[in-house]
Parts: sequence; structure tokens; C-alpha cells
Amino acid sequence: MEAPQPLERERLALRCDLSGLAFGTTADLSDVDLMVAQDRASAAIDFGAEVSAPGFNLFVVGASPDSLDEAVKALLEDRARSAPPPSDWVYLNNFAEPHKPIAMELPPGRGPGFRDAMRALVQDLKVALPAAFESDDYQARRTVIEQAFSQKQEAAFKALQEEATAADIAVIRTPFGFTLAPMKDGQVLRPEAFNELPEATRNRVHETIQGLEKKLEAILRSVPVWDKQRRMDLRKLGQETTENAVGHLIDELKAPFADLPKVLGHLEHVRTDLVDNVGLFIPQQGGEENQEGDAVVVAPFDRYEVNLLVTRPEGEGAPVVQELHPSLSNLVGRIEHVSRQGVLITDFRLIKPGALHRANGGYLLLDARSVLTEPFAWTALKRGLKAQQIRIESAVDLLSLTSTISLEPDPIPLGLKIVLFGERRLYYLLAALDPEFREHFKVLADFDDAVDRKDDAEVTYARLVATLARAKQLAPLDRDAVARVVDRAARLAGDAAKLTLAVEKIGDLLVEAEYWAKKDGAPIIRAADVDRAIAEQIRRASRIRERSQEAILRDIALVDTSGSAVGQINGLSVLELGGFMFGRPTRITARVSPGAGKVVDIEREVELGGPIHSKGVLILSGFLSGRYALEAPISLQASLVFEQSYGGVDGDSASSAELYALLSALAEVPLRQDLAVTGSVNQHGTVQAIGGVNEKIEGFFDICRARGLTGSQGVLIPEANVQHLMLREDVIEACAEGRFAVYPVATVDQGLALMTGSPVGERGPDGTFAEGTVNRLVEDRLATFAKARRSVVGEAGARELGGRVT
Amino acid sequence: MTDPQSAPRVIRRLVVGFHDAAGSSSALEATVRLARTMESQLLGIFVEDAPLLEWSSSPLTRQVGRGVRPGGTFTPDTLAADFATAAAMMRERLARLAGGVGLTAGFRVARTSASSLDFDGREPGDLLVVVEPTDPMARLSYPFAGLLQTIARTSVPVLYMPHRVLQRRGPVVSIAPRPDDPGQRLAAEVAATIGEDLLNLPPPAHGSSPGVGGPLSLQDLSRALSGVRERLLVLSRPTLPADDPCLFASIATQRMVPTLVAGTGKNGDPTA
Repeated sequence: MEAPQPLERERLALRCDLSGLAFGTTADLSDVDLMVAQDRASAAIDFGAEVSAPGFNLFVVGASPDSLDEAVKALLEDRARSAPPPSDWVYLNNFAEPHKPIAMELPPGRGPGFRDAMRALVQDLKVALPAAFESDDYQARRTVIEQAFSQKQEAAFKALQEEATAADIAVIRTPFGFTLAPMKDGQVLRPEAFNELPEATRNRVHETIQGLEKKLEAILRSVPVWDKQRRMDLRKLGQETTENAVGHLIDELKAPFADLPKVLGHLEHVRTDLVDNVGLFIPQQGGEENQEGDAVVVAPFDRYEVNLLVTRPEGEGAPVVQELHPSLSNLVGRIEHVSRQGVLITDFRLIKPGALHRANGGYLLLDARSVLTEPFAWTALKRGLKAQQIRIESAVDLLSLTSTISLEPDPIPLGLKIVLFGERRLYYLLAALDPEFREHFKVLADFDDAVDRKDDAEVTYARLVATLARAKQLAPLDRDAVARVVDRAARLAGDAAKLTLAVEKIGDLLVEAEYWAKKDGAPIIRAADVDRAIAEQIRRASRIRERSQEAILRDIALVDTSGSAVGQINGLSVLELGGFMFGRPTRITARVSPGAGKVVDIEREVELGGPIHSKGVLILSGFLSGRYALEAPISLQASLVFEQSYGGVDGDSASSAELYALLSALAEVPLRQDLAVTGSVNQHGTVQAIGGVNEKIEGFFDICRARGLTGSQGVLIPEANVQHLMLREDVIEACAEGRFAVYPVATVDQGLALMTGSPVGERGPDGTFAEGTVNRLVEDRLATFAKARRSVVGEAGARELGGRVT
Repeated sequence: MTDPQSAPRVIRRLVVGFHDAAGSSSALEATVRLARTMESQLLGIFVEDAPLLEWSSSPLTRQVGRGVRPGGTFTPDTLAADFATAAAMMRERLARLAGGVGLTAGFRVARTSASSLDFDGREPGDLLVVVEPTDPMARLSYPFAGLLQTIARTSVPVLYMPHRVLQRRGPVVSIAPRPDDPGQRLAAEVAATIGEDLLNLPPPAHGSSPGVGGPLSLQDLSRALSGVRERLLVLSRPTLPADDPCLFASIATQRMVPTLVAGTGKNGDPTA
């Protein structure tokens, strides 16, 4: 088995080649659609936007959904411009049931005219009605009615009074009624004087008073009847006066809305209401108590206002609305209240539209996470989509926190496209956990995280960089700067064959590069500015990385970068903190002894290892059994540990390193400590691809460089990961100069050969490994363990216990 | 329009009298607004009618209730309680109306004859206001009917507020026999204070043509005022006919304007 050779410089990174594109700076490049290379997602959006059937709403997913909304919004706005504008909607007072305002649909753009016309009507009414009721004609007719009422009372009362006066009896007003008392010389008789009268006289007076009282009671009983007649006459007079005063105003108002029967119907209701409730609109005049008493009164003419909920001028197409704060009230609208005399009141004019109203007939863009984290918003959204209507709900009502009388406005028909933006994980979670989700969001627009770096992808990407720079009003980039940005895009994609489509990160890089260019007084962004921006981004985030490296360099965290040792190897792990990834070497050790065939994952035993890591370790047992335990069960007790690891460990990228350490311990063959290893392994000994390969290589390189590059140091990576390499320039330079090396490894045997410097050996025709090979040493050691085990538990016990993996 | 700054302030307080719980809200509101316009103080006086209280100890007392109020006999105690209730109601109503226009109204209870205009604590600059009851029967019965007679006889100015008042702008119309009549001077003062024009009219003669002096009838007065939309009417007592001294109330009620009665009548009692 030949040990792998170091990779050549060309394979350590794929540098951008813009030779096919003639330009000086990005100012020379034309814009490119931000939906570049998103054919699948674009088609999904087109499909979702065009299908009108219910439920075909869109869920847009991508690695960084925040950067997608602008592109999708632009796409939808383009489509919406040529779409017919939606209807205007107004809320009107329901004269029969004021707590149930009426929603009225109007042709696009007609709402403001209706609202203004009603406002003008109200202004006219404020003048016309009082004038009519102050007119001499009205006053004269009213006086006749009032006088008729008064005269009835006066006539009856005067007759009584004359009779009383003739009998020397006074009719006296008390605080709450009347009483009768004997008089003498026009004055009420004192009780003492009355008592001095002869008894016959007193009795006669008493009888007279009793008779008069009965008559007075009869008069008082008649008064409400007369008063009722008076009120009816006054009401009729008021209705006639109102009809005469406002009839022509309403008739004039009908003309511009002759084509809208609903408006005409409402105007008739206004006319009827005015006539029926005229008492509310005119100043109260003498003798008429305010009908409302102490009740909370709003301006009476407000009832004729028009609450223009949504309108869209003709020619503007369908709306595209993005709601950044999709709370319940911001989605479905709300009913506001005002405080009057310490009481919260509301009416139809205080109904405020939500995003669903504003976007009705068009598109509503929402961040899925925001909708899900706002109380009641998600369920309200689904309810609206299911019922296909917008019903205003408030969280307070839903929780029954108050018993305030509120409104029940007519629901408004809902017909729009909802476009949710979110992470893939969120989409799949909703699809799995919310049974209604798929009913309402049938169209998935899945944005690729990266574009293949083939053909003219780099050229297109250069135009994307130019587009971003212009969109952010940044200085142009020169050719080399663009190339650096493209290289960075590949590195962010974690793949030399891909370019990231997380344009937000690229946009941020451009902003930072311009900052450094300006600091340097440069009118354009140069390659050095991009490099500086990248370096500063890393520097800002690298405090933890530096502390980690410092611990290794000060021998606090033990990692050797030279020499060799049995059962000990440098594994590589990746830490991601706040979006910044870096690699760091970790010592992995293995100890072996005769036992029951158990490979102990110490990380798992102390619950620091995740399931994938445990799986990787268990695979090692499979590899050992398959390769070495052909005749007898493995009688091995082995333990594996990530030394000085105090946090959780997950992933299987260290499984090849663990296997090398285990085999080294079994064979008692030392492993090189100037190499570090990454890669997972399967039961057949094939080394498989892992993630974060660039960061892992650079992590070990940084430690070696700090200690002094010896020329023998390097990293073993899975051969399948070579295509992902986009290493730092300093790493590439060191490799090119032979001071560092990256070895592609396809099998465990290749890696073992490199790590041990010894022949690994293959099983010969006689079924055994050649003497002196690593595999022979491993198998012999396992045989020794099996023998030792048999001596302790016997043949049967060894068979029974052997080979069991726990 | 009369310049309010040029006239001296003669009226500094409006004193509103109440006798029961049936005062007209419209009249009371008009009174409060007038006080606000005149920037004068406002005092309510509830008069507990002393003769009625005296009579309440008689065995014959029986009250005929109005509206939901049941009838029945009354005693000095129950009558006093009724007075207190009515006073509280009127105090609250006056305070609410005054508060509505930013005024603070004083209130006091006096025990005297309800058909007189006497009360303790009268001050120079007080203008007595008599609010007409809404109830026609209250207007015709004791003590209000007697109070009208007192107003006609007294020499002190009294503002009579009809139970229905038209709230409008317009001149202050004064009808007095002579230019130096106290009523005319008072009218000038009021007009200046409320910022309205003053319109002096001679008393119309009995019959059709205007003339000087002579008793008035309601028809004469109505005719003389036809076409005028006055805000306030000032009548000089000498113009009131001897056979209908309460003409001021009739014209006020008919025209729905506050009517100020001033001066001393032919049979006037300056001490009434």
C-alpha cells in the first residue's frame, strides 16, 4: 500500500479567472438579476404567483432568507405592476346595529371620492340642519305645538286654580309636587290660625281640599298624554324639517355614484337615519332635555363618515406589501379605542387595516419566524386563509381579558398570495408538525445556497458583485478585487466548485472593503481592500480561536506537532461561534486490553458525545470485526477519548483518526504527531468526506506555523474533500514551498501507511497478513487478547461474550 | 358693536334662585353661558319656602306627586328632606353646567319666602336671575306666580330666563320711556359686557303706531320687535302695564330671550 502524496498547489484552491470578461471596474459591468442561478425557485415563484386556486401560497426557503426577500419582492412587484388593482374597501356605520360596522367594496380608486363626498355632506349638514331648525318657519310651528301643550295644561290648571281661589285655597308647588292649603287675604294660613277656625269650617276646608286634590291628580295624569302628543308632533315636525333641509343634499350626492347601487343604498340609509334621529343633530332648545343624558356622546355627524380602509389608485397595479412586524393586529387589523370621560369607546371609524387588508388582491411578504413568534398571528393567518376572509380579532378578546363592548365588523373577503420566508428547517418542521401547513402553503420556492462554478459562472458572479455594489451605492471594484470577492464566495460556499448565493454576506464584504478603500483614500475598491476586509472580519471574530491556539502553544492543551506516539493522534474539529468557523487540533488517544469485545467511547459514556459521534465509534467495531475477527470473536476492551475536551463532541469526522489511534494501540506502532487527520470512515475502511475541511487544515497549519514549520507537517483529508479546498493563500504558499502538506486519503490503509511510516499489509493467499505489517501486528494482538480471554472465561464464555458491541 | 372695555362693570355676579327641582335646563344653561360671557361670578340660591314649611305642621298636608313621585302627607321633616334633595339636585346641575364652560358656581340654601327676592348676603353688583319652570303648572302656582308679581313690583334689576332660550347672537334691545332710564343704562352696560350692539326702542303706543310712554300689551311689544333677532331684551318697569305687570314674562317666553327687568314701576315697591 503506497502512502498518499501531498496535493499540488493547483489543487489547494481554485482561483477566479475573469479573463473572459473585459472590464476595468464594476462600473463597466451591467446589472444582473438577483435571482441569478435560481431557476428552480424562480419557476416556483412564477407558478405560485399565477395559480389562483386557494392554498397555493408560497414558502420561500434558503440558507439566508433575509437576503431573499428583496429579490422576491422585486420579482413580484414586476408582476404586480401589470395586474389589475384590487377593490377599495370602506367601513360604514351600521345604523341598525352600530356594533356591526358594514364593509363595502368599491371599484378601485373610488373610495377616496366617496369618503370626501360624505365629509362634504357632513359639513353641509352641520350648516343646513341648524339653520333649518332656527328658521322662523320651524320656530313658529314649534311654538304652536308647545303652546298647544302648555295651553292644555294651563287651561286645566287655571280652572282648578280659579275654583281653589274661590274657595280660599292656594295651590302650592312643593319640591316634588303640589299641595293645597287654605288662604286668607292672599296668604297661606298658619296652622295655628287654621286650628282656631271652627270645626265645621275646618271640615269644610278639608273636604274642599280633598275635592281639589282629586281634580289636580286627574290633571296631572293627563299631562303625560298631552306631552306624548306634543313629542309626537315635534318629532313629525323635526322629520319634515330635516327632510326638507337635507333631502336635496343627499339627492345631489347620489349623482356621482349612480353606478354604485350599494352607495345609493347607503345614502338612503343616511337619509332615513337623519330624519329618525334629528334630535341628535340640532342644538337642544329650551325645555328639551338632552336625550343622551350623561351618556358618552360622540359627535353625532361622525356616524355618516366613511372609514376608507384601503384604496389603490388606478394604474398602480396590485399591492406588494412586506410586513416586518406581523403581530396579530398588524396582520388582521385592529379596532382602536379612545377615552371619553374615563370610558373607552370605539366606533366604525376606529377600525384600522392590517397587512392582509393592504395586500388583499396582491402579495403579502412575511418572515415565517416572526409570524410564528407573534402570539396568535400564525393561527389567525391560517384561519383567514381557510375562511378566505379577514376577520378582525384582538388578542385581548381572544384571551377574554376584558369585557369592554367592542365591534364586530363585517369580515372582508380575502384573496391574496402569502409569501413566507424562512429557513429550510422551519419549512420542514412546519410540514411535519402542523397538519394545516401543507393545506395553505402548497408551493415551495427552494433557493439554492450556491451556484455551480462552471462555464461563465464567475463572469455572471462578477456582474452580481457589480449589481450589489451599485445597489448599496458603493465605489466600484477593480478586476482583482472582483476576483477576490469571487474567491471568497467559493470559500463561503465551502466548496471550490461552488459560489455562495448568500448575497447578504457578499454585500457586507463589499461595504467593509469600501470602508478600507476610503481609509486608504482610494476611489475604487481594490484586491487589498477586499483582503483587508476579510482579514478584519476574521480578526473581529477570532478571540476564541486565538485563546484556543494559545492554550495549545503554551502546552495547556496537549497537542504535539512533531515526533510519534502509540495510540495517540491529532484529530481536527471545527467550532462555529456566531457565524465564524475555525478549526482546531485535538489529541485523541486509544487504550486497549483483553475484554469482551467492547470499544468504549468515553465521550458517550459521560454524555459529552453526540449520536453521530457514537455512531462513528461503533462503526470502528464493525471495521475491526470485518477485517480481523475472521476466526474468533474479538476479545478486546478498548477506550477512545478526545483528550482535554470538556464540551460536547458530535459528528463522525474524527472516526478515521480514532481508528488510526485504535490500530496503533493494538499494533503498538507509533503514529506521527506532525500530522493531523480528518475524515469519517465506513466499515470497509473507506475514508469519507467531511465538512469544514478548509478550516480544519488551516487550524492545524496555524499551530504548526506558530511552532515553526518543519516541512514534515501536514493534514490527511478525505480524497473526496479535495474538490472543496479553497485554502488561504499563506497555507497554499507553505505547501508549494514544501513546508506543509495536504494529503488526500481514500482508504484507512493509505492513511495508516502515512501515519505509521510502516507497511500496512494485505491478507495473502493463505489468509494471513505478512509478517511485520501493521495489519499483522493488529491481528496478532487481537489473537493474544482472545487467548487471554479464553483462559479466564473458557471457550464457551468467550464465544458467548465475544463480538458483542455495546 | 359696543366696546366692552369702555363700559364700567356694574354686574359682577349672577345670583340664580331655585325653589324646587323643576327649573328649566335650557334656561339654566343660558344663565351659565351668560355668566361666562360677562365674566361674572355665579351663585345659586335654593330657597326653602318658609310659609310652606310652616304649613307643613298642619294636619291637612297632603302632597300630589308629579311623575313617578307618589303622593301622600308630608311633615316638616319630610318636607325639609325634600328641600334638601331638591337643593342637592340643583347644586349638582348648576355645578355641571358651570364646569362645562370653565366656571365655578357657588351655592347656598336660604330659608325665606319663595315669592320674595330677599336673601342674606346680597352684594352690590349682584344681578338676580329667575329661572322659569318648564312645567306650566309650576309657573301658574304658588310661589312662582307670586314671585312674578314681586319682580314686577321691585326696583332691583331681575333677569328673567324663560324656560326655552334661543342661543344666538344679536343686539341687546332696550325698551325704556326715557334715555336716562335706569333700564337703558343697564342695557348699555350689558351690551358692552357681552359684546353686542345696543338697540334702544321707545315703548310702542297701545295700538299700531309707536309713540312715547303708555302701557304696553303683549301684541304691541311683539309688533315692535318683529324683525329683530335680539339676544337679550331689557324692559323698563315703567313701561309695564299696570293691569299686566308680568308682561315681561310673557314676552320672554314668547320670544325665548332672556329679559332683564329694571327700573321702578309706577306702583313699585323699592324695598320688595
